[in-house]
Amino acid sequence: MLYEQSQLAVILFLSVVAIVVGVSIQLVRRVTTPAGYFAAGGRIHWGVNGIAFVGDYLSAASFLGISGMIATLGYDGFLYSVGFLSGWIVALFMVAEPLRRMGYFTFTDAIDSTFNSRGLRFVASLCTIVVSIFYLIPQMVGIGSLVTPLFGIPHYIGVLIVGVVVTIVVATSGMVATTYVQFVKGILILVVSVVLTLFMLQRGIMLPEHMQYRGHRSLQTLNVEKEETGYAVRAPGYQLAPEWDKAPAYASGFVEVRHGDEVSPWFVEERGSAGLLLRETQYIERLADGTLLYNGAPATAGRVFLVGTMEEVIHEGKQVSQTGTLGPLEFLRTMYSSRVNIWPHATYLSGEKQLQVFHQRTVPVADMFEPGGMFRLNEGGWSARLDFISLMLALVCGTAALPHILIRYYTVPSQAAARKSTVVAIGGIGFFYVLSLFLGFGAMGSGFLNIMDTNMAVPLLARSFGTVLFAIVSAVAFTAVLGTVSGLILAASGAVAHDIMDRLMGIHMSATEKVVAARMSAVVVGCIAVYLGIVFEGMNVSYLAGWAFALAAATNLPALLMALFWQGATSKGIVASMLVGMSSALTLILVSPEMYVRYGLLASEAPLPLNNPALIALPLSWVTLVLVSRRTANPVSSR
Amino acid sequence: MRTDIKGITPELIRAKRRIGQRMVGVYLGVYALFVALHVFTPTVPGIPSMGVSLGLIGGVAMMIFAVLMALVYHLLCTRAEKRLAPPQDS
Repeated sequence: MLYEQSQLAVILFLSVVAIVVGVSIQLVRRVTTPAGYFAAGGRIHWGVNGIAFVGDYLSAASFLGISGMIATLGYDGFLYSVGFLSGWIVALFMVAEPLRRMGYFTFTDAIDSTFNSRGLRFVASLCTIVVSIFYLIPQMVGIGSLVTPLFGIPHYIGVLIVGVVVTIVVATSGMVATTYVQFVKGILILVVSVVLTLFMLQRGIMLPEHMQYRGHRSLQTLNVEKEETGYAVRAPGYQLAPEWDKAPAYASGFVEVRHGDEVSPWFVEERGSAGLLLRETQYIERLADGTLLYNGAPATAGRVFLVGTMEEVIHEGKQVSQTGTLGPLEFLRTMYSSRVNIWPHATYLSGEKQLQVFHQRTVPVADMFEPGGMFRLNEGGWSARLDFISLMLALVCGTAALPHILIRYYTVPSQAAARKSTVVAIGGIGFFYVLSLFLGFGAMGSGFLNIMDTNMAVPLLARSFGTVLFAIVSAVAFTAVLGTVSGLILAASGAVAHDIMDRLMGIHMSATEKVVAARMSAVVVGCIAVYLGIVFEGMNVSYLAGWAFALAAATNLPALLMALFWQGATSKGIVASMLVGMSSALTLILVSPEMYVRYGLLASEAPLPLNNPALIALPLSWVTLVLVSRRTANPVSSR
Repeated sequence: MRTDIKGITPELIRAKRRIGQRMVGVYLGVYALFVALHVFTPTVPGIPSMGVSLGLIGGVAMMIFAVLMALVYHLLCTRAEKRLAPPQDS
C-alpha cells in the first residue's frame, strides 16, 4: 500500500523537473554578470520578492515537517510554527533595511562593510557555507522521504538522483530563476494548503470504517496463556523468543516473539493469571553497520503500514461515527473532545542492534493540545525545560541569520522594498502556519499516517482524498525542496566565488569567470548535501531545521547585529564570536542525545541532556564578541 | 544595486532604527512571556478554553500579533520616510 506508485505523481514530478530545467536553460545565457547571478540585478518587485521569501522559508521543514510533527506530537509541533514566525519579526525590525543598505551580494558583504578585514571575510564566508550546508540536510532528507514512496526506490538512491538533478538545475539558474521558482512555489504551497484544508473540513472527522480511502489496517493481537511450564502463544507459527523476560525489550514494555526466522517486538499487556496480551508494533532496527530495517526488512519491502485513526468522535457533546462538514473552529473543538490512536515509541539496545519500537495507544485528543509530545515540561524536570527554551531561542534568532534568506534582501531595488517584501512574507508565512495546524491535526486521525516517516504526513493526508491530490501535493512538496535547495546552494556558492575567491584571495576573474566559479562551487556544495541527506535518513525535517537555526543563530546573529548596531565591535571580536558560536553549536549537536541515537547508542548516554545548542552557544558567541572587542579596541578607531 | 542610498539621511536611519528596536523589544518581551508560561507553569497551556486549549489560542494569538506588528512597523517607517526623506519610487 505504502509503496504503491502513482503514475500521475511521477508525471507531475518529472514535469516539475522539466519546467525548472527549461527555465534554467532559458535564463542561463542571460545570467552572465555576478550581479545578475547573485542578486537578480536588484530589480525584483517587492511583492514578488515577498512571495519568494514565503517560498524560500516554507521549505521541506515547514511544508512537510511542521504538519508531520503536529500529526504525531500534537501541540509541541505547533510551537515550532510560533518560533519560526517570530524569527521574521527580528529579521524585519532589525536586519532587513540595514542589510539592504550595507551589502552587495552576500551576508559577508554586509558584515564586513565597515571593517574591510580579510580575516573577517574568510570566517564569515566559511560560516555561510557551514550554515547553508546544515540547512541543506533537512531539504535532502525531505527529498528522500518524497521520492522513496513515489518511485519505490531506496532513500539513498532517491536523494542521489534528485540531488544531482537539483544541483545541475540550480548551478545554471542563478538568482533570477531561483526567485521566480520560489515565487511560483510560494503561491503553490499556499494554494495547495488552502485546498487541502477545505477538503478536510468538508469531509469532517470520522471513524476509520467510514473513510472512502483506507490506508490503515487492523492490528494483530496474540494471546499468551500462562501454563505450568511457562507461557505459550495461542497462535500457530508464533512462539516467545528464548529468555524473552530477561531481554532488554521486556524492560521497555515489549516481548520478543519468533515467527518463522524472524523475531519481532510486541507490546505487552500483563493480565495476571490470564497471561499476556501482545499487540503488534512497528519498529526500526539500526544494525551495527548502520543499515536500517523497517519492520524487519528494507523500506522498499513495503512492510510499513499506515496508522493514525480516530477511536471515538465526540461532536457537540454526542458520540458520532462521522461529523459531516465542519467549520474551522468546529473542527478543532470536535478533535479536542474526541479520542485518537497515537503511536509513541521507545528505544532500546538489543545486542549490537538499536531498536526504536512504536506501539498504539488510545488517548484523548485534548492531551495532544498541550505540551508533552516532545517536551516533557511537566515531568521532565529542568533538562526538558532548558531544551525547550533552547529551541525557542534558536527559532526566534535563527531566521534573521540564515544566509539564503539574507541574500534575498539584495534582489529588491530599495530599503523600503526590502521592508515591504518582509511584511508580505510574514503575512504569507503566518497564514500557512495557521493552515498547518489544521493539516497536522487532520493527518493525526486520517488513517494515512506513516509513523516511521512523519515528513510524509501532508502528502499522505492528501492521499486520503485520492491519488490525484496526492500527486499534486507531492509535486508541490518537491518544488518546496527544490526551490529552497537552490537558494541555499546560491548562498554557499556566493560565499565561495564572491567572498573567498574574488574579495579575499584577490583572484582576478572576469564577470563570466566569476559566474562559472559560482556554478562550480554550487556543484560541490550539492554533492556534500546529497551525502548528508543520506546519513540523516528518517529524521523529522523540522527537527533537523531546528539544529540549522541554532547553528545560524549562534554563528551569525551576534556578529550581524553587533556589526550593524554596536560602535564598539571590532573585526577580531566578530571573528572570535563567529568561530566560537559555530564550533560550540556544532560540538553540542554532535554530543546531543538525538545524535547519540543516530550513533546507535542510547540518548541517556549523552553527556549533556540538551538537544538544541542555542541556549549555550548563542550567549557564548555574544559574550565572546563583547569581550574580544573590548580587548582589541583601538583607542583611536576601533572600526 | 543599492539604488536608494541617495534618498536616505542619517536622521531617517536613526528614526527607523529607533522604531525597529522599540518594536522588537515589545515583541520579544511578549515572546519571552509565552515561553516562560510554558516553562514555569506547564499545565497552563493545557487548560481548556473556548473548546480548545489555552496554549493553542495563545500560539495563534502570537501569530496574529506578529502580522499586526509587521504592519504597524511598516506604517511607522513609511510615515518617517515621508517626514524625513524624499518619496521613493518603489
